[in-house]
Amino acid sequence: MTTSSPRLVRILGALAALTIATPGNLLANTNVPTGWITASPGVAKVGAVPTLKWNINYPTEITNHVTIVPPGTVQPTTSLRADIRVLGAGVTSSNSNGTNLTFVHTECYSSYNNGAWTRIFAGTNHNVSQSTIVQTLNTTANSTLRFGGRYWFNNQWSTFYTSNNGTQNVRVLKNGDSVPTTYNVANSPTLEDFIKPYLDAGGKVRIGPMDIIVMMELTHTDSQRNNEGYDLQDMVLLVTFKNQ
Amino acid sequence: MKALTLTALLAFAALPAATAQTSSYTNFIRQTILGSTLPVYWDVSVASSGERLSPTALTIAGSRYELWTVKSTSGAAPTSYLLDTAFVSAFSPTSEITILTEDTAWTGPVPRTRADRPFTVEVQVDGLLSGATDPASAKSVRLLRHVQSYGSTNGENIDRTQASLLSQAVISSNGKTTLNYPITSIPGTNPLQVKGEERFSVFTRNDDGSNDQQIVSRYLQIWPVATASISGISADETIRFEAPQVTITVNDLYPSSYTYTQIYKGAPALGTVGQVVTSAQLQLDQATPESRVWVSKDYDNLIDDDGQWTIEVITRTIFGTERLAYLTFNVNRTLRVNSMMSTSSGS
Repeated sequence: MTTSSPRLVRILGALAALTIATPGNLLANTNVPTGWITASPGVAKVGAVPTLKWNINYPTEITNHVTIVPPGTVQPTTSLRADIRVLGAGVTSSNSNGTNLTFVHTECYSSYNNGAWTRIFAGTNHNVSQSTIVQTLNTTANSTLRFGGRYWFNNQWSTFYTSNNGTQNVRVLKNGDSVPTTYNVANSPTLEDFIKPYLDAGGKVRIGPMDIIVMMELTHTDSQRNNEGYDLQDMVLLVTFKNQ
Repeated sequence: MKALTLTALLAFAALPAATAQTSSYTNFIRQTILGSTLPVYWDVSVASSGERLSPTALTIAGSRYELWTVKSTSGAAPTSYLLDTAFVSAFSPTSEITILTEDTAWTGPVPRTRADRPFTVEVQVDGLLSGATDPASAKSVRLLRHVQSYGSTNGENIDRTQASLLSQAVISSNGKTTLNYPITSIPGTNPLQVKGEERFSVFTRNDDGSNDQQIVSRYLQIWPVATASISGISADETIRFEAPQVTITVNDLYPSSYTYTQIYKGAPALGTVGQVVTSAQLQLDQATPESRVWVSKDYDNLIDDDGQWTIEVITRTIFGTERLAYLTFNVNRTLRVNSMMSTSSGS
């Protein structure tokens, strides 16, 4: 193929198969595209045809690497590391007149790939340290990650709600999702202080592009979703995915 | 670095684009055949990763291969990124650059550090010759250092042709050259607040400087030192009743950090462990810094005694634990009844 153009631009016939890229398997974890290219051998005779290898990483979002199965299950589509942190445990008890408000003992569990439930937190909100990683999981492609929670009150355990017990009590949300309450949770008097930094003024989740937030309602049932107490803040987790 | 001439991309742009979230990416490899009076380009579209033969065979002067991606976003002009280059010729030194920072926990593809932290650049060069009859281009390479500020952005649409050449040096022997930098040289009025990138590149070195080719290029990202301020309560203010609402503004929190507000009774003292104000904390683990404004009143619940108190903002990063801001105030809630006792006596 030749041309008389001073600036010779040749588009190969492969254009018909032009690839519009979708994010690759590797979690880029970057805000700009990055990539590398090699040509081998680096020293070659005239007439040689070097072999090119390349890889491009795109700025990524959680849905490129994880499938969220509503309401509360996560399925990584590649091998990833998941760091799980507790943001808060919001179940409280009080006297009938609202006095003596105290946090109650709450437990949180995870289950990886249909395995047994592993307790990853036990205590009250006062025991929460948001920076502490309570569990790290090295996930494989198409594995399943589920969550559950319960609390102890009046000498008995509450219902153990999980990602897969047929209710909506355990939700998984990503950045920009609205908290699925029937009211703007950001303006609600029941809004827990610990979750304020992770919501915007409109009640949407504000977390990193490779984070998910797990919000649990442990004191109300699906039929009570119009109740203001149904705020999905009884147990809240932050899960960050990254390369293993 | 070169600006992408979109001439070569018109054919790409005319094709339908699939989308990946809000943006789609079109990739191509450009082979520049060197040695002719006018440069000759071959462009070939590629997937995000792969292996293939060079579009055409080598000439005596060799070829440069450029990996490009073009981001298309609905309603915005396309943005092109030159991601990397490779160079092949009948003779070419080889080189690799490794950038080391203190942020060893970061698993992203581009190394990063903070504006006040040191970093190291290791430049490995092989294949240089020293014979009297060897061509000049075989005897040395040139190392270039570019800096570029991101300005008010996080570098999303950076035009690397605007980077500033800070320094260059000639390397004329094989082996590893280690360069230690105590702090970034990205320009800015406050060196602690700059954000941007530093790029190190090795080029071939011809006698007349013409037609030098990039052998390898690597860069690191620099993020600012976080800052914070506390408003809504004045230093040494005395609280008699309910504590006022405070506004805590945190800027440029390091991408992987835990930043929190705490209060404790007493004068400010570094290392004191107080009680966390739950509405004024943030756990981050991502690629770019964050700035937030926290409006908090819940610290009032943590005040359980009269006296001097300190409220402070702390950030924990891989570089250590640092106090960003603090303020002391006084609490005096004890009710004092001043009265005069008198007695009366009858006569």
